[in-house]
Formats: sequence, structure tokens, C-alpha cells
Amino acid sequence: MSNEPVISIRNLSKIYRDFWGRAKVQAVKSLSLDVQQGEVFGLLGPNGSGKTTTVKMLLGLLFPTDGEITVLGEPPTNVEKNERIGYLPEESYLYKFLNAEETLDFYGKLFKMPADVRKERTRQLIKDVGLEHARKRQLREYSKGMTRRIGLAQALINDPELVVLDEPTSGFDPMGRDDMKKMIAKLKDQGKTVVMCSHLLGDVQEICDRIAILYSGELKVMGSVDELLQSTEQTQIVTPELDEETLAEVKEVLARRGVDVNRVETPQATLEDLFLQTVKESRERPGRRHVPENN
Amino acid sequence: MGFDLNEIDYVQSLADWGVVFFACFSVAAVVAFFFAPIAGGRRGRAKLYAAAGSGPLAPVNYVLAAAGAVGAGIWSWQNPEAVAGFFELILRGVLGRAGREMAVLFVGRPALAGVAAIVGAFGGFLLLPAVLGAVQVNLGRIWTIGVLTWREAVRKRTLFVFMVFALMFMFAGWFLSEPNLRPDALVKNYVIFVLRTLTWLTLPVVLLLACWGIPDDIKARSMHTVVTKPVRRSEIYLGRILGYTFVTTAVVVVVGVVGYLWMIQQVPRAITKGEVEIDGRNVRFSETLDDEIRVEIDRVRGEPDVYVDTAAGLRKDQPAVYDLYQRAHDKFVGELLTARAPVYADNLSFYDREGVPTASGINVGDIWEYRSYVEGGEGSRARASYTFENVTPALLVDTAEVVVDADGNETVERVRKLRLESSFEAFRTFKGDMNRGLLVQYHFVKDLRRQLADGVAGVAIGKLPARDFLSLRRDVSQGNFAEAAGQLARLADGYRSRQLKLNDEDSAALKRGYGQVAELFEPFGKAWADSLATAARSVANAAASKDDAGIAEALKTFGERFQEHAATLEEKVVDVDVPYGAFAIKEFRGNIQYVGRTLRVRGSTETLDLFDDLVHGGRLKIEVACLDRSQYLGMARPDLFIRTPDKPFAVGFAKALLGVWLYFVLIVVVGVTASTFVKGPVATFLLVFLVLLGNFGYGFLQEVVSGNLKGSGSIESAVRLYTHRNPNVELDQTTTREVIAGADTTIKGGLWIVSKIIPDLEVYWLAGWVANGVDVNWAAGLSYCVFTTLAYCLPCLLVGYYSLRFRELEAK
Repeated sequence: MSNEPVISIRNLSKIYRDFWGRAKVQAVKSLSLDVQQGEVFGLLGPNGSGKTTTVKMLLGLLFPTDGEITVLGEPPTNVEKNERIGYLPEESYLYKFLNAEETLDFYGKLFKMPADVRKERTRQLIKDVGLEHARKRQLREYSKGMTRRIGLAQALINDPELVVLDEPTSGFDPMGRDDMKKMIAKLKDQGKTVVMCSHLLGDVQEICDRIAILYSGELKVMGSVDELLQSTEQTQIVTPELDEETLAEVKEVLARRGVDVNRVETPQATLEDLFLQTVKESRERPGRRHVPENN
Repeated sequence: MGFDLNEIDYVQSLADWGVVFFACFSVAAVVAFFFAPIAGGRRGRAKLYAAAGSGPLAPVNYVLAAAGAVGAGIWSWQNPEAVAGFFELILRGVLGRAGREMAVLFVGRPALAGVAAIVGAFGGFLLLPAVLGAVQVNLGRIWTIGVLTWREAVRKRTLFVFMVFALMFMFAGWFLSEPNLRPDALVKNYVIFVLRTLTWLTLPVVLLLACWGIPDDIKARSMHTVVTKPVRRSEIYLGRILGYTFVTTAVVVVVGVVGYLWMIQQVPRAITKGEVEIDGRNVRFSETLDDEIRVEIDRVRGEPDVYVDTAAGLRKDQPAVYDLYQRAHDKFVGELLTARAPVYADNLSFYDREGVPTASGINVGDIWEYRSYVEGGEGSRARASYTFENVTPALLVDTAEVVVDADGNETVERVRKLRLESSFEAFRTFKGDMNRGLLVQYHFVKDLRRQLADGVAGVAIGKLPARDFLSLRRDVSQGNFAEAAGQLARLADGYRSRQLKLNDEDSAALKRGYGQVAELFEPFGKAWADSLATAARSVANAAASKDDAGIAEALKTFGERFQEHAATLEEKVVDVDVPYGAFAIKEFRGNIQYVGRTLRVRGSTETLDLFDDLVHGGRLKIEVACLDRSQYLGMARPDLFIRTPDKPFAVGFAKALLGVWLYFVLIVVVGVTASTFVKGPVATFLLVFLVLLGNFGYGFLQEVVSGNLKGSGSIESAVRLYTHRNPNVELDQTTTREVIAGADTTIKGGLWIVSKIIPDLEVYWLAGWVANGVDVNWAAGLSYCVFTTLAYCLPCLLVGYYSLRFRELEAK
């Protein structure tokens, strides 16, 4: 395995111009970054920060005003390299008059996949993204979440080495988001490189190995998630629930060492965790309800 | 040399076709060679040049290149006019119509044409692998995108257009079958209705599909997911064109077939009267107002038999007559729904009332001089002379002839005859017998002596006395070949002794004249004729190279051969004039005459065979005379033709459909190309402009830019309108006028460019041929459609490829 980065960006700039060629807005300013093989890389930033523009330049949809990009060792305009790339756009821009099977078959044909391989891959992907019940329905009848699922399937039709996901979890319900996150984790386990851009920070924190934060087209922060979020000024100890006595003893020990206790609290689960737990239990035991009596 | 490219029949043979395609390919290769490196960057450039000159294909490639270049060079040397023709096609494709003017460069310049062909050939073959490498499109992916496009059109209910056709076909019969119409006009109505509805109802669908497909794809960003796959943008572009061509083909084929079936169902029902020949007898039928059928059958002698009854009554009481009526009806309908295959004369010339050859006949005052007129009457020797080339017995058609034996019994015999169809126009200087058309007579003429006289003494050459040529001409015309040989010897001596120098004009005349003489002798295929042909060819060659001594020597030899074969010449080189019947013409309708192979010489029992005795070297001359005193008969070249065996109506109709299909393909290609660089509404606007101008304004635009229109430019015309001055009044010579004239010149320059870009879409309208019962001719009809589409495809493909390739796919 070579150490050459899967994506290499050097001094990348992009200026959008109007009809007369006058500079309208500079979407990306002197961006330089590398994405290594096998990592999940997150591009973060508020709306208009240049995430999608950068991704589009990576894929050859837009042409850089300045700077250099190589993707899998090739310039973005090289078409052959697309054999090894999968792309899920911000919204699933698919042909709405096709059904799920036809969609995957169409994209499979563009990769010149043999008919039997294409058929098997289509069947498997439809199963993986949970659309078996809707395989014959035209995409115009799909909900947004279903469209995102088939969008992900088309991105994976060629079993790509590099997967570029633009806002992968947007449009999903929490179950879908969870599935998507699992899917990304699975891709990572398979050694594939994933580049995703998102402004849903919780998802990114959970999934990404490294992140870069853009603001106004400029790179502001880049590094591994753990390193960036690590706080060296505080220590947190997590234990099973402690009674008052034990707690007092712990505080006493700490006081002896000259350490002030800032806060002692019982941790709360996130709403997402609660939702997932509820849906999971509801699936397993359909008749059960958990509603407090005073409600 | 006066020259008009329109006169060049440049697509003459299969070989020419091969060269045309080869030339198209060469130009494409050269364009790719110079453009692909620019587009492909450093890497693309390296790949391209490597493909051109290395790899396992390289040696084969070089051999092919050399062989092809030599072959094309030789061929082009021989056929500079053809080279001009196909270079015109190519240049038109690449440079628009400006290329037409450039193509004229090659006419009459074999060296230039040959060099151009060698360069093109070598370039084309050498770059074959390079072009394949540079383009690198995958047919499978183009097909996939084509199928997607088709599916999109179908699922978006585009093919609902069929419902509109179905509705129109269901009710159109009510309005088209007007009983008072002439049967041929009725057929015309049906044919034009089907083809016109097909064209004008499908056009908006095709136009909108072609103009909106790619812009919609970009706007909906569905193209983003396609171009991020290993798909070249050229594949998307070509796939879209392919897909819309599928849609177009489906509509044209389905509506064409349904329209055809509908027509052949409707027309027989709508035909209620007619006249046709059955087994050599004229049969007239008509439906009366009382729903009865009237059938008249001509007899060879006596009044015709007439039967009037209802259909049922006739079938019951006169089954034979009813059967004849049915056959007559079917045959009449069959003759209307047919595709005649005319063989037109290659040349039309005239003789005035004194029998002297003239370039044209009399102008009876028509401003539009389509026809030339000959004067009628016994005192007039005025004739129009049609010369048909390549006339063989294969042109004969089967006919039936009634033969009456000694006992008066009539039998029908099958005979093969030459079918001549004419549509002359009469110009009457007095009323005369208005119930009868002018009397016309055909003369089958073999005028070998006249041709020989024209060849050897048509023009007085050098400074030799004109009287010598006149007497030579007279001797040859009158068949005094021994005296003529003497004259030739004297001419040769005179030429040598006076040491004459031939000027360019005389050289050309001598070459042409003796070339004709050689061509005259060659068809005899005998030793005597060959020796004369060779001698004549020597004179022509010597004249071409202006070898004065050689001319005198060759003339002397020719004279000796003439002397040697004088007796044979007298027997074989003859003038024959066989008048054939006389018939009253039906004006504005086709007159058909069936001419048997055996013709009787007037005033004798001698008979001549049409092909053995009257056709010489495949050439048949038919002279047309008017027999009515002081009346005039007007003729144009297409007015008389040999009607060879008809082709099925379906064949002609299918060719017209092919024209419509090629029209739509052009719209698709131009529309998809426009949509690669502008948005849907703009592309639609462009296409609508192109269609309107190409269909309805092409001729007018050409006239405007030619400067032949009165009233000059646009601004000046506006001023004239405002100031109420007609175009014949000169405007005052003021500074304002100068400014207006300057502005008009600029506008005209812009219009000139537009006129070179806009295609002539009228060439695709082949319905006129079919509606008039004529098979669509390849050279004069269909080839224009094919070449116009091809010529516009090449630049469109280049523009489409590059504009989509360098387009940023940002829908904002």
C-alpha cells in the first residue's frame, strides 16, 4: 500500500464569475489538504463555507480557478479514475422516471459491468439500503429518505475505493441516519476512503477520523477528531451510580489532594439514543408502552 | 469557363460515394488531430501522437495511408469536378456555406484536386487510430444513455402525440375526399396531408425534447451523478442525440406506416370516376348521382359499349362487365398510387422554323421563361430535340395490345414498348378547335451525318478559308464521303503549308469537335470505325497540345482513313428521321405514348428497330414538332421523359418519410448541440428561428443578401415605407442617405453570415414527388437531404462535444 494520499489539494481557489466574467464571489481560498487511504474525512462548515464547491471540484463538476487537485493520483477531469469513485450528491439527483432496479442497472451499465454481476449487485444493494419492498416503484413516488437510500446504493454500485458523500445524513429519519452511519463504518472497515461534508456535527464527531473546518472558503481547523476535541484541563470519571456516602468520600479524597470538584451529575442519554431505543423495543415487543402514569 | 456547381452531377457512381465518405472522414481526422491535443492537455497530446505513429497498427496504417493517398490522387486527377463536389460538402460542413465558394477552386484544376485528395487521404488514413484514440467514446455507454433518453420520453408521455395522429386520421377523410376534385388532386391531398401532419405535429415534440433534455438534466443535477461515473461528456451528448433519434424514428415509422395504410384504404373509396386502358381497350367508369355505375368500353371499331346499372345489378346481370369495371377501378387507383420512375433527357435543343439549330425556342412573352416554344404548321421546320443517353431495352415496359385477325376476332398480346410521357403547354395565337389539343408529332432521329459534319467542320479553325469548312460540312451532311476525304486532305495540306499557329479558342474547338467524332465512331465496334476513332482521337490530342505539325499530320491521316472507308461510311453513317404518329395533347395532364420497338419508315414498307437502328451509342434523339399552323408548343426539359417500369407507391412514400426523418435528425442534432451551451428556452428560440427561416425564408434571405431586391437595405426600406416612396424612386443624395447605406451594408454583412449558416430546409420536403406520383430521385431529391444533414452534423458534433466538455455543471 503506497503512502500517497487518495486526495491531494494544493492552494485550491475557486471564484464564481458572472456573465461578463467579473468575480462574483470567492467560494474557496487557497485550500490545501490531504486525505489518506482508509480514513473517514469530514469537511465541516456553515452554509456557504465552500464544502460543496470543494467536493464538486474534486469530482470534476467544477473547474478550479487556481491550485491543483489530484484524486487517486489523477486530475479530476480524468474520466477513468471515476471507475474507482462513488458519489452521493447533496440531494439524490436521480432520474425519477426509473424505479430502484432500473436506476442501479443504468448506473451499473455505465461502469460496463456484466449483466449477471450487475443484477446480483443491484439485488444486494437494494437489500442493504432496505428498499426491497419498493424495488419496482418509480423514484418519483419515493420519500426523501428512500431517495437518499437509493442514492447511496448508486454511489456504491461499483464497489468504489473512494466514496464522496455530500451531506449523507440529511433527509434521513434517525433510523436512516443510524443506518447510514453504520454503512459508513462498514465502508471504513472494508478499508475504503470516505470523504463527507456535513454541518451535522454530532454525526461527524461520531463517524469521522479527521475533520477540516472551512469558513468563508478558508481552512480554519484540521486534524483528528480525538485530538481536536480533547480537553487537557479537565478529567472525567464515569462509574455506575454512586450513593451519597461514596460520593462524599471521593470528594474528600480529592479535597485532600487540593482538587476542586466543579460538577457532579447523573449523565443523561441523548434524545437520539432514547428514540433509537424506543423504536428498537417497539420492533421487538410491539404491544408494550412506556408512558409515566401522571401523563 | 462559365461554371455552376449546381450543374455538377458529382455523385455519379459508387466510387464517388466512397470518396465522399472518405473525404468526410479525412476532415474529421484532421480536425481531431489539431483540436484534441488542445482539449486533452499534455497527457492527451502524448496519447494522441503515440496512437498515430506507434503500436501494432502503425505499419498497416502507413501502408494504407500511402496506398489510399496514391489511389485518391489518381482518381481526383481524373475527376476534378467530383472532387469539387465533395469538397464542397465537406467545406460546407466545416465552414458553412462559405465552403461552397472555396470548392470552386478545384473545378477544372486536376493538379490542385489531386494534391488536395492526396493530403486528405494520407491524413485520413494516418490518423485513423489517432481519431479512435482521441475520441474514445464507448458505444455501449452511448447506447445506455440513448435507451435512458427513450425511456424518459416514453414515461413522460411524449408519445401521446400518436393520439393526436389517430384522431386526425379518423376524421380527416371527411374533409379530404371532395367528390369534385380531379383524381390526381385527390391523391395529392391525401399524401400531402399525411406528410404535412407528420412533419408539423412531430416537429414541436422533437424540437422541445432536443432543446430541453440536457438543460433539464443539468438543472435537476441528474447529470452530476452520471458525469461522476466513468462517462465522457461526449457520450452523454451522443447518447442524447441517439435517444431522441429513437423517438423520432418511432414516430416517423409508426405514423408513416399507419398513414400509408390509411391512404391505401381511403383513396380507392374516394375515386368515383376514371379512364384506363384494360387489355388494349379504353374503359371509362363513373358513379352517377343515383348511385349507379356507368361503364364505357371502347371498341376497336364503332361506338363504345355503355353499361349503366347499380353495382349489385351489374354484378348480377353483367358479371364480365362488373369484373372489367373492378379491374379498371383497381388499375386506375394503382396508376394514381404509384411512383413513376422517369428518365429525363440529358439535353434539350431547338431548331427554328428554317431548321437551323438554336439554343432556345421562341419566347411567347412569358416573363418566367420556363418553357421555350416552337412554331407549328407544315411550313415550319421548328422542332425541339430531346437527347436521351444510356437508352437500352431495359427501359421498355410491358403493355397489352389488341390484335384483330382476319375474321374480326380480337385477341390480346403482351408487347414490350417504350413509354413516353409528356406534359407540353400550348400557346394559341388564335382560338382554333378548342375541343381538341394541339397536334403533336414525335420524330425519332438518328443524325450521324449531321453530328459528323458538326465534329469535323463545326468551327473554321486557324486562318483557313471558311468556305473550305462549309463545303466539307456540306459534303459530309450529304454523304459525299469521298469528296469530304479530299477536302480533309486539302485542309491538312493548307494547315501545314501555311504554318498556322493554333490559338486557345481554336485548339479547344478542334479538340472538342474531333473528340465528338471519335465518340461517334466508337459504338460501331468495327475495325473501320475503330481506325477512324483512333485517327480522330489523334487530331484531338494534337489539338489539345497545340502541336501544329502533329495536327496537320493527324488531319492527313484522318482524311486517308475517310477515303479508305468512304463506302462503308456511306452505308453506316446515315441520317434517319422516323416520324411517329400524331396525337392531340391533353394540356396540364400527362400524355402517354407507347412506342413499339419496330417502327415503319414513312412512305415505304421498310421497318426499323428502335434500338438497333435509331439508338446510337445509347443515345436516342426524339424531336417534337407541332402540326397546327401558327400555334405554338411550349417545352422544357422535364416535359418529355421515358417512363420506365413504375415502382410501388410504398417505395416513393418511404423515401419521402426518409426525408422527413432526416429533417428531424437535423433538428435533434442542432437542438441538442444548442442545449449544450445555452439554456432550454434559448435553445428553443434558436431552433424555432432556424426552422422558420430555413423552411420559409431561405430563398428570400438569399435574395436579400444577393442585393437583387429592389429597395436596397433594411433601414432604407423602412425609410421608404415611412416616407411613402416606392423602390423605383431614387432617394436624395444626402449625408443621411450615405449613413443609411453604410448601416445597411453592415446589416447585410450580418445577414450574409446568417444565410450561410441557415440550412435550406425546403430540400427535405419530398412530398411533392410522391404526391405527383413520381418516385423520389436519389440525385435530385434524397441526396440533398442526406448531405445537408451530414454537413450540419459534423460541425454540430464538434461544437457539442467541446461546449459540454468545458462546461461547468453548476445549475445555479
